[in-house]
Amino acid sequence: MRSNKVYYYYFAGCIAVSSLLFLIIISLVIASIPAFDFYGVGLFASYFPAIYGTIVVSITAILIATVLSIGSSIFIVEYVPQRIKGFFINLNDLMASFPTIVYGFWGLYELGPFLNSTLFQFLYTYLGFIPLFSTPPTAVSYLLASIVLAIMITPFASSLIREVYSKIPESMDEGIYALGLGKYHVIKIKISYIAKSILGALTLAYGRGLGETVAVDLTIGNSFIASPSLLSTGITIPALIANQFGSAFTELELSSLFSLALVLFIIGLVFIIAGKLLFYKRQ
Amino acid sequence: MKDKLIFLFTLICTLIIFSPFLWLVLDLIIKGLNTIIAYGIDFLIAEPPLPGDGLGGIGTVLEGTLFMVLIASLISIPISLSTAVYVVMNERSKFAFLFRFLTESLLEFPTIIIGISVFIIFAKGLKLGLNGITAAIALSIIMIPYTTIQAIENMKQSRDKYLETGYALGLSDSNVIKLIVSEGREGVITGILIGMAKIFGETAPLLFTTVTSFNIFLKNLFSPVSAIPVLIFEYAFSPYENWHDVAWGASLTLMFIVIVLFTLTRFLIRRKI
Amino acid sequence: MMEASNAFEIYNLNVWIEEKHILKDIDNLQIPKNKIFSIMGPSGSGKSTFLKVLNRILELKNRVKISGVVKLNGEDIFKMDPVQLRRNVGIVFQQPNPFYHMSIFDNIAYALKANGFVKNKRELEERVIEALIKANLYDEVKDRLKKPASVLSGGQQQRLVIARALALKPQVLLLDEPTSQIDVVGARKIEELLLNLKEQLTIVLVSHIPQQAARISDYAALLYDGRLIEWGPSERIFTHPQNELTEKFVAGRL
Repeated sequence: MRSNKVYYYYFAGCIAVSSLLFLIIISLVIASIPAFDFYGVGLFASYFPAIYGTIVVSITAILIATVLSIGSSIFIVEYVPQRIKGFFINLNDLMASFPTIVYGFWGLYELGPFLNSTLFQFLYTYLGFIPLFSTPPTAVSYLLASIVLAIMITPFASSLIREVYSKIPESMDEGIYALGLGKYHVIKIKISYIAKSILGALTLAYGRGLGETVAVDLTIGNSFIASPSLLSTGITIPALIANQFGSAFTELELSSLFSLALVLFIIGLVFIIAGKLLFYKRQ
Repeated sequence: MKDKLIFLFTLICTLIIFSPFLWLVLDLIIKGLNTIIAYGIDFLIAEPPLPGDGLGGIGTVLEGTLFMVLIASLISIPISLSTAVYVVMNERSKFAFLFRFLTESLLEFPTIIIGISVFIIFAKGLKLGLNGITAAIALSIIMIPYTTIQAIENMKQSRDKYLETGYALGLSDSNVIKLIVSEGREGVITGILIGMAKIFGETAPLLFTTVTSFNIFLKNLFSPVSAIPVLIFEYAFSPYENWHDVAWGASLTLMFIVIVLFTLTRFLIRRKI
Repeated sequence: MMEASNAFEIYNLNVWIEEKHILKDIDNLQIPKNKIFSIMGPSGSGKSTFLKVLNRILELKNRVKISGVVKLNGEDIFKMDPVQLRRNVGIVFQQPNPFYHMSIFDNIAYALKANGFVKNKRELEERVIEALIKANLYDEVKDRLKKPASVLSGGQQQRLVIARALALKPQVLLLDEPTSQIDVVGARKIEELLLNLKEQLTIVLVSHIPQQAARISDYAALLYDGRLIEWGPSERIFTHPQNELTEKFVAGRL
């Protein structure tokens, strides 16, 4: 009935999108070859602080975001009255689409100094015996970067979780109340019902956090060290690439940075795909 | 008891997540307005100041940002639209599924990666150099998935409404598509605005695709220009108070743009429903 | 002595949902113990709303206003703790709503555990199996108690939901068109089940099919446009209705 001719033009857009994707991957691979050739796998050993920092910051941030995103989406769906629900949802989604550079700038000059004289000082004074908080606090640190990152990825995770959570049919609530159970059990059962989607949402949020560049760059302190203390300054892969790119003159230096980007990309891709599969899996 | 505890817990989570943002917005308004009022409305057109040399404007980077977003939109809108039409009209085909999946994955790519690839392919490979066009290419790649996915979602609704009616009226394929696109146009515009809001604030890819000098106005399409987010990034790292002040003003400007676009999208979405 | 033979007594009940008057002056209605009481009426007549008033599940919705008196065993339900009330008055809805992600066993065990009704694992297992037997489901699922509830058919899911309610040993079981989403064989099984259950508890059944009500209920009432038109022993309602509307409905012309 329908001829397919008309679709050729539209197919072109698809081809453009997919070839872009493959170009991105191929260009990164080709650009990384000189560094791999020269250094071999030892390349990554020399970038250990950046790899370490990326893991520390992203994990700390996702731990904070896990609690906050689940908690806040429950609150918005279950407790906020219908009339002002829209306000909370819009606020959350505005936060999720706010420029990350602004978070970073504000984190560096406002949140950092505030936390430094309160939370960080407290952690160092009272919990300093734990290696995790063993260095004197500075205004910028792994922890500050993690908190700023958490502020950025929580609304993202929250909006994904909220979307699934609010679609649970009302019959579920009624069924639970009908058994003489209270709100606590309503929430518990509903959360366990969408557990896979929540895991997927958090995986996607984690993937986002891994690649965040400028906000982390501004708040982590950019020192090329790997410290066990969250109160210490450090570096992440994206921050390192952003900082060194301008001053990288030789092909080999550039290629090394590109190979780091490739690693970041592959790890990120794993999280994207895993997250998508989990999130969209039928309950 | 447990019912009260869970209420308290989720309330605290909500407060913790929203209060920093309100604090941030308040800070931006106070500090940003401070700068803009001190320098006057010329803030939006004047050149940035020299280090330690009083206040200045963000005219150069505002121009650069607008230029890049414009070019990026021109590149991404046709690609997004045609991809969306293909996916919507062939929803059951494996290709459509694949394209949708690829587009969604592209949306999650770290933007720094996109910046680096565009540097490798366009700036170096095709010798385009570091300028507004190269930056706009990077931004368009970031914009495409946002616009495409939003367009798909909205055109699906109008497809379900009009596909059969359209063919029943004896319209040709291309006319049916026109009908569906024009019926879903608010959704398509929403998608474009969402994509624009996203790239207005993008910083990381610009670090690889354009220059970081902020005192150049556009002379031609390929002149090196920078953008507001890059100025904030560089000035934040600088030790100069006056540059920090300009960065606050620039942040407020950026926030204003993003909030306007965001509000527009919400308005369009609400009107549709 | 009349008092003790009734599970529910309803006087002057009015319900508004979002300013809309849904139930109008339902007065002097008594639901006797250990009987099956059918609430009939065309769709939109307020049957489901009425049912949901009885265990106060309606109040969970936004903007509901209720006036009047509803007594359970002579006690005003609006003065009771709703959670306590719901443990005593179970409800089953049209659409089976088991916890799909939980195992068949856990579907029943969850509320028993959460309400603190069982002391140990053995007792829990006994109560779960007892409930499944009561709901005529045990034989069909005994080999797959650990499988998720989503593997069951619609009729089985509905019986699982009934078992879930029965496990709490309620005095009253409310059912809102429990067979309307289920195939004929499944529906028959549920009807048989209800007939067996009335020895142990009071059953209030909302039904839009007069034939079903005639088949299994001892008493029947007709709601129309939020008003109680007529109620009484099924025999009389189905053979000698006093109201013209009842006559029409029973004959399938409403």
